[in-house]
Amino acid sequence: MALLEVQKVTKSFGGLNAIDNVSFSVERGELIGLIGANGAGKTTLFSVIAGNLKPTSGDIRLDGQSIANLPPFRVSQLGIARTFQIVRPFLAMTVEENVEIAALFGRAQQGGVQARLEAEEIIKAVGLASLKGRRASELTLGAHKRLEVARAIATQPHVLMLDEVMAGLTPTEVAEACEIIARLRRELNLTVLLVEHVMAAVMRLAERIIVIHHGVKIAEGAPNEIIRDPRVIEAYLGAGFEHARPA
Amino acid sequence: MIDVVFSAQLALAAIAAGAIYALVATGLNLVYGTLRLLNIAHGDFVMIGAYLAFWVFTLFDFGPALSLPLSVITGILLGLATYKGLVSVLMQGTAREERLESNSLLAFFGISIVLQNGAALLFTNNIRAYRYFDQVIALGPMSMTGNRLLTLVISTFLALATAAYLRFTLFGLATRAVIQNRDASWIVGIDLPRIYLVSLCFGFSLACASGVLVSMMEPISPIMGFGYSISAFVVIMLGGLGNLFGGITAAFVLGIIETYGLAFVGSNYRSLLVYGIFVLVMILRPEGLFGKSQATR
Amino acid sequence: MSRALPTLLAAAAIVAFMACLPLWGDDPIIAVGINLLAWMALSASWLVFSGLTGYISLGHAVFYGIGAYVTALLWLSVPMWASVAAGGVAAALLALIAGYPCLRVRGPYFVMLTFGLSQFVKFVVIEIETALQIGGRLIIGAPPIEIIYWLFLAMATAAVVLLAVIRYSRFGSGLRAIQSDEVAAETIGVPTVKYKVVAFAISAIIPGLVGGIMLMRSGYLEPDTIFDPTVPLTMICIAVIGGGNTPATALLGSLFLVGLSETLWVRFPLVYMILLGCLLITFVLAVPQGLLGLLAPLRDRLESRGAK
Repeated sequence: MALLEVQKVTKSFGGLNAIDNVSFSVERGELIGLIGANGAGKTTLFSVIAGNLKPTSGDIRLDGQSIANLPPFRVSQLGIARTFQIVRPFLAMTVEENVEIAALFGRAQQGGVQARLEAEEIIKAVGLASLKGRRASELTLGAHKRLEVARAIATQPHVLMLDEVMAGLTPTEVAEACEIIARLRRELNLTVLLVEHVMAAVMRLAERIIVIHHGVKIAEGAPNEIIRDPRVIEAYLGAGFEHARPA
Repeated sequence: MIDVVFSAQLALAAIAAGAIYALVATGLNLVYGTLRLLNIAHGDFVMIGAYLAFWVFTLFDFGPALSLPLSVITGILLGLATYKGLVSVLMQGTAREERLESNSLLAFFGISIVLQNGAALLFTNNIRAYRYFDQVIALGPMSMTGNRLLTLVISTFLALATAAYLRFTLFGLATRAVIQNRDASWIVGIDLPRIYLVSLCFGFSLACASGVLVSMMEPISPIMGFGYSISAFVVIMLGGLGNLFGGITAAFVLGIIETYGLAFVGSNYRSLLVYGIFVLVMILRPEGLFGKSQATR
Repeated sequence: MSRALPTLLAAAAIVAFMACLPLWGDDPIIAVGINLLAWMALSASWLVFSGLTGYISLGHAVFYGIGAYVTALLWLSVPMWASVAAGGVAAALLALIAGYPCLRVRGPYFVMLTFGLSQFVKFVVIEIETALQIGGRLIIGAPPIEIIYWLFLAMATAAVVLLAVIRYSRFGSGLRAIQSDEVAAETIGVPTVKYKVVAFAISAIIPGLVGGIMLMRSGYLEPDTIFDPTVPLTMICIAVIGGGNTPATALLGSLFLVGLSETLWVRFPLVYMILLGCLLITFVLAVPQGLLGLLAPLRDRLESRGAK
């Protein structure tokens, strides 16, 4: 059975369907890329899966259990973590405290001391060790993104949903981020859903890509197939994309 | 026959009450809509206007003809002072919008305390009142006291003036833009600080003007503003925070409910009625009758 | 843990000192002491909820008032301690019932709603008393002032301990996360609604008890006085002037406020109120870190000197 199943999910706001009858499944350990133009509905999809929004119709199953109408904290406790496109750190707290709280409340719900140890490890893993005592309000955007990921991971999720974590990063930072994500996925046995516009990252990391356009899933498959798919090229990628293919 | 008169008179009273609420609430809505500041001292500006009218009448024997313009000037001055003293500091200090809202609430709470007790210190706690234009005027089958009629006329005029300002002037358009989306307004080049200043002055002037009108009909005391603050908040929350026309509609709804409710229940229950309605609406429909669903988490 | 030791010792010393007060002080001093302890109890309780979650409750006085009212209603029908305890329970129940709807709304709505609710309850009580044709209730047979003083001491200590325990617990971390960013908090697994309501209810108990004990002291209950709007104002002033959301906040703020009120309030009540308002404005705008924040450099210097 797939770890995460999205079954015919529709989310409408007023008369508009932000997501229209989208279905896909994610196997344990996969890294799936979710791409589409701005406004295609990718973040809405994340919000529905994570419980920040309720689906208008359809179901979402985690390990066979329906999670469609659960509040976000329940979904987090069951093992799905997400980052936000516009980062939401706890500004008044330090980096350490930010990650520690996630460890205290996420799926694992560690005790105090254990949570702190966990937090330290994770902070090291994402490369924020030198900043761990700093208040979150003092960090740069790059550091904020890492903090966002660190916090998500601290909840010890089964599924990690990353929403445009690479946005605003320099090419060097993007390469570094890809490496961190790949390593974390290996070491922590994560299943990852990645929404991205930075195509280099998607092509490099994703095993399978799903393309959303105007709320509808228009293609699904291996990266090489996707970039050749005429529907996808027409809807989103445009001409001259060949250069981003992996060597 | 008596019933008809009764209900027509009551209807006019309800409309007059609603008109006052509409004025006060619109001022509050303007300030909140543009600046996201919760002016819990708004009713105390009404009180200031009322005292102003009282003293103008008592000392110089002039009615609203003088005190209304004076109240507008007072409102403008208050707006200036608030802008200089409060807003610039609040805008610099805080980052997140919600923190700004609660901070402003506390600051205005302080202002309210200062105003109420200052008035008590200066004018004593004795309740004042004055008679102005309270001869009964007959309009066909209905009769009404002159001051209530005057209130109706002036508040309608002021309401229309405000609506016209918002609808037809460039500044009004800019104000509406700021209310809808502050960041976008900033980006398209609207002079935000100036809009803030004008909105503050406008809003406070409306409050002071309402005070002048109220003073003709009701007793004046340092703590009278309290009730108006609460009612104003009830109204703008009912109408949806920042929604000017929703607020005006809600004001009349409140005026009607209050007047008719009191007629049946007795004036002792007035506070109970107002707070009860408020609590009920907040619990059942926090975004108000017309607001968007942005109140719940 | 070693950092906490001097603080704990200092706290124990203070409690011991305060406990001895009635033995050597006369009535006016005891009265001041009671004032101080009562405000510490109330402000520390307020901080448990508003200081930690950031939801400003303007209506906390309603718990104080309900506590007093229930105590008055049950007075002499049940043992004295039971009537006071019932006040606390009633306050907590009110908080639970009001909590769910109140906490569904965010920031400004919540503030106004708590205030509206507290006024609503006040007027309901007034109506009930009017309907029963009771102008005021006399409370007779209350314990002597020393006992009352020690009860207040117990309340203040309990409130401060409660604040400290909660603030440094997992529950407290969750609450502070809610204050920082409620959506993010919920995303990482904090059960936000439940936590807010529980904090609200807990923060209501001690004010309820304090209301009952204060009633025993004054001997007379009038709806206007027990639901006095200056109570929530003072609680907020104490928190803002104190700065932060720790027990020290409650202590510093209460000391300052009681000091101010003892000097000014009797003779110049209006000036006192105006001054309070000005202080509130000043601290909110210019000194958001409060007295605690102002004294922080001093404390740091003491600590570093001690470390040498």
